Amino acid sequence: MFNRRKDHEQEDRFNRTIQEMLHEARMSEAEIDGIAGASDLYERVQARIAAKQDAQRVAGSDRHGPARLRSFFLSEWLGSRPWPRLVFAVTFATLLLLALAIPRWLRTTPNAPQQVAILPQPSPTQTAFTGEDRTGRIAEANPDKQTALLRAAASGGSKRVTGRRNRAAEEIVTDFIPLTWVTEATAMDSGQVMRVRVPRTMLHSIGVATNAAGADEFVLADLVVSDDGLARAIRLVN
Amino acid sequence: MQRVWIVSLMCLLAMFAGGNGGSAQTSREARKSADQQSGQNAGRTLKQNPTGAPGTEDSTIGIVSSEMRFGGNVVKGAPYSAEAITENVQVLKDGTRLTTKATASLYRDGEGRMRREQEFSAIGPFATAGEPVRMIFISDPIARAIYRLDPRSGAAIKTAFNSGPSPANPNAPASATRKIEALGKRMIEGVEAEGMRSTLTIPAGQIGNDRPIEIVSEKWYSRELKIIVLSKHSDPRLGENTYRVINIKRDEPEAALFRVPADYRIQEGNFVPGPGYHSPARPRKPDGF
Repeated sequence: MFNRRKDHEQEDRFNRTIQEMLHEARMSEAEIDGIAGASDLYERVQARIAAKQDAQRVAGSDRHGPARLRSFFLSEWLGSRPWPRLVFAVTFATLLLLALAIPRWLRTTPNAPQQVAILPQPSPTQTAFTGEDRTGRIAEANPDKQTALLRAAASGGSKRVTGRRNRAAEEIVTDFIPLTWVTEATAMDSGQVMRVRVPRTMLHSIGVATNAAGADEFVLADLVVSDDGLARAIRLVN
Repeated sequence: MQRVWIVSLMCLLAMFAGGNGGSAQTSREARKSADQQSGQNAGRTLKQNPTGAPGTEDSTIGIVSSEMRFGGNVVKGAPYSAEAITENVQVLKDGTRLTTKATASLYRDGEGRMRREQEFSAIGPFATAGEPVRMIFISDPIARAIYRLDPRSGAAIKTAFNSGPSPANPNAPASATRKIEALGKRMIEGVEAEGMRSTLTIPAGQIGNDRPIEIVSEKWYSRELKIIVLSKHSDPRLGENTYRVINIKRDEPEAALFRVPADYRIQEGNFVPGPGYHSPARPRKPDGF
């Protein structure tokens, strides 16, 4: 129904345009009939149409695959059949919506909780070589770092964008956690920061415990290593 | 007209989906790539020593990259070349002795340019499981640039020259007691060095320890070369770390060592300091140094 009304509108518009052109040309009805009745007019018009179609066909054959496909898609397939066109649009839109919705749904689905927790204080009987001891050190040394770790390492939490120029990715970085201490008198003041991939099991040994489900996963971290080879501090990334 | 609407709608949806899904895909690919990198670079992984905790499993850490260099005074007029050896010894509760070793080649020209070729076979107590990672640093204070050469990829990562302090605050907790003593002078590897020892004592109960923990650091500094030629750091939690500079030669090294080779492609790099970046006052030299 919509198409039929549209056809009528187009026909009316065409007739109006013809009338206006004739009026502007100031041609009489007899002159118009004379031109229209010329014996070779129909053949000449047919020849021009055929030439134009040939030219278009040649141009179309020069196009590469995607362009040809697009041309066919837009002009032949979509242009001639209204119902498949509508069905295709609805299907495509539905698939796109699903493609959008599923990743979001997966992201918000609580799977294995990824969180970083500070181990509790060790019992007085634990020796200085255990990871718990180190945890205790961290927890005692800088309570703010606990909060920073918990906040930053929790997946899906608020992200702090620290990216600059080349580093487009968003990174969550915690505070540096000291692994050992040196005095100013004996510290080597040169070194480097190294980006490493650390298994969660190792994080446990340096005082940052994670859930057992992700024990085999790697976590990005920055290690501060002075030139004397001493690993001084670590921070978690993302 | 209807066709235009449909095409527009599809384009809009495709753009939205591409933009949204793209970021997720990018992060997924980045993670996958990093995982693959860890796997492929099995030779570059570092094996963590058991820390002595019962039931602790072995695990590895993989070096992804060197992010930045910090510190290092610019010293002119004292060229040298030498080798540096870092050794970490850790004794476990059952008496097992774990030793890791890393080496580096050091060069400095008369203008203060530095070249450091380092093989990361260990970082502190974390020992190499496979082939060590080799990194070359050229620090050029004249050009105000530091280049990190990666021999495997042929890339030279250029960063701004940074003689600032360590991003991590080295200061011990205020409750720790400090004892600093001068050790006098002695000849080490043909150069005169002055020794300094500091002892940090973490009181019992401070970090969950039932007895005081002593962290002892020792540094032997050459005034002539303005470098540390020997240092020792003993922390019961990490073991004993010893750094030695050997085979010191006072000749001017080849100029080519301080230039990026022509077959390397230079890339800009930068370090993201992040919220945990400390910028404390530069550690002052101890009295007498």
